[in-house]
Amino acid sequence: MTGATARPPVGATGLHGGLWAGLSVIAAAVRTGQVSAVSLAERAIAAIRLRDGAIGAVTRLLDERALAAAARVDALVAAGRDPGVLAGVPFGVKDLFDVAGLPTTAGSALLEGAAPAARDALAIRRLTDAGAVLVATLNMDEFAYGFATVNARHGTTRNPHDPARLCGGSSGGSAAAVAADMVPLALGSDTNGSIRVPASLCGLFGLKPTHGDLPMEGVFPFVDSFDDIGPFAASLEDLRLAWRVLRGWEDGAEQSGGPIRAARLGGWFARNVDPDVAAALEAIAPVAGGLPVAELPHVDGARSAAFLMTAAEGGARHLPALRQQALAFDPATRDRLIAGALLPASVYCAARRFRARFRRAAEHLLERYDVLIAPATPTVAPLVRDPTIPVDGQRVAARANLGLYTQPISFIGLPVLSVPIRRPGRLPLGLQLIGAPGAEARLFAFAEKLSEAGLIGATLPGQGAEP
Amino acid sequence: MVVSAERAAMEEAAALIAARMIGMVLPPACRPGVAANMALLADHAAQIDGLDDDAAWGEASGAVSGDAPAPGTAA
Repeated sequence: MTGATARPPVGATGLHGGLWAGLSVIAAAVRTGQVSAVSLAERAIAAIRLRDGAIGAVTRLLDERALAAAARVDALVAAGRDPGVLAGVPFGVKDLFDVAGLPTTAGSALLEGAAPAARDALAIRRLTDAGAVLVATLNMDEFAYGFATVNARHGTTRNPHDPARLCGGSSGGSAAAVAADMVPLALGSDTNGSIRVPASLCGLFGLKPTHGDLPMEGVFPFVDSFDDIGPFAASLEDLRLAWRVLRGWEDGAEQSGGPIRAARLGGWFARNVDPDVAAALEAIAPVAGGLPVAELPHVDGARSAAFLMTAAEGGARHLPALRQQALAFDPATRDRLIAGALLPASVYCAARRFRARFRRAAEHLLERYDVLIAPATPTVAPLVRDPTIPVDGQRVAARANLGLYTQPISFIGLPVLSVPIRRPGRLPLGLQLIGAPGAEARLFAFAEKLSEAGLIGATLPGQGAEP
Repeated sequence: MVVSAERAAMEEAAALIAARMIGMVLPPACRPGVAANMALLADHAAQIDGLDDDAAWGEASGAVSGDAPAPGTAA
């Protein structure tokens, strides 16, 4: 079994004309012996070596580990055993997941000398137990504090659709690695939008699950109150399969039936919106059977409260290190964390009380609607040399403000599917499909309708990119 | 936001004192950035001031407001 000439995972059979086919197609080829997992690992390693110089998504290439793991998958197949539903699928992880034998750096030079992790994070173990092969760790904003993936230690991750532009963050390396077709699957984390923002700017599908639904064991924390992990993929099918494996539900037993009532969020979510997003929402309306406008109260306050809780919890977490070696932090992260550590407890408590009321309001709205639709980002990817975005007529820093529409949602723990608007030849833009806690399957079902109607879908770099 | 040199100096001094309360001596390189971020957080705190109890939310507490059909679509 060499697999070197097998076609299923490459070329014309790729989902969007790229290097990789869908995850289930890749796994089927490996499980039936048509292609070897080792050849797929080699293909991913070669793609990283070829492409990452221009992108800067990868922080550590785990080639030896990947080839050894892939050989174990091939040995299972040779022995007549099933390696799992992700057999041979190469994947990468944001640099805050524990990888056995390596320090978990969370994108910080401060932690490069930390003790190596004793074992892989639980999310990695779930994927590898299903046959997937870890090939790389991926770039991020230091300690996940930013929406840009501009990192003092590892540099700026460039957008594969236009390397002059940011890829979004903080899970930007994960999004860029999938968008650049280095790997067909990557894991990120999302506290304030760190999956949804880069998914939008890189034209991918991404999932921020219900808070606490996917395993955080072995993941370097940022803000316990709303940290989550999730996958990036180039298709809805791939994202759903990865989500099922991460949950421990390979067979997809979740319920998604029944009519779906959808609305789009107005007010805050209609301000500063890109005209193309507004047009996409108009196109969705007939497919959704009408798309009434619904409003959440005090969304500006929700974003502020999310900022405050993030700063306070993040600052408190890093205070011991800040006291001893503040200058070793990335300056862009350090000053925000120190300011957060200085926040009075009374303000933090007020933000928590606000959150309880805002969550109640959202839950009431979600009794009327199964899916709430909102933009994922206010704009296409900003330029690296001018990392600002327009908000209310002013240019503001992209690093802190690209999460304008994502922060108020993750702040209350709701599941969100980030989907790319189908727009070949244009820079990517995404939508958030927001559901009630535990309603991920309904979100996938709704997204499937939009996909069947041709309204959403990933676009590979090279299919054209113009602002 | 552009602030005057005098105000920036005052905010940096305030940041220095606040940092002492958490056992930090702010290195000079951090002072302007910490002061600017403290000012930003103060703005955010003002945004939720008075919105952390039920009385402030009234009908909005759990209510759906502003429902209206999108132009040209069924509600």
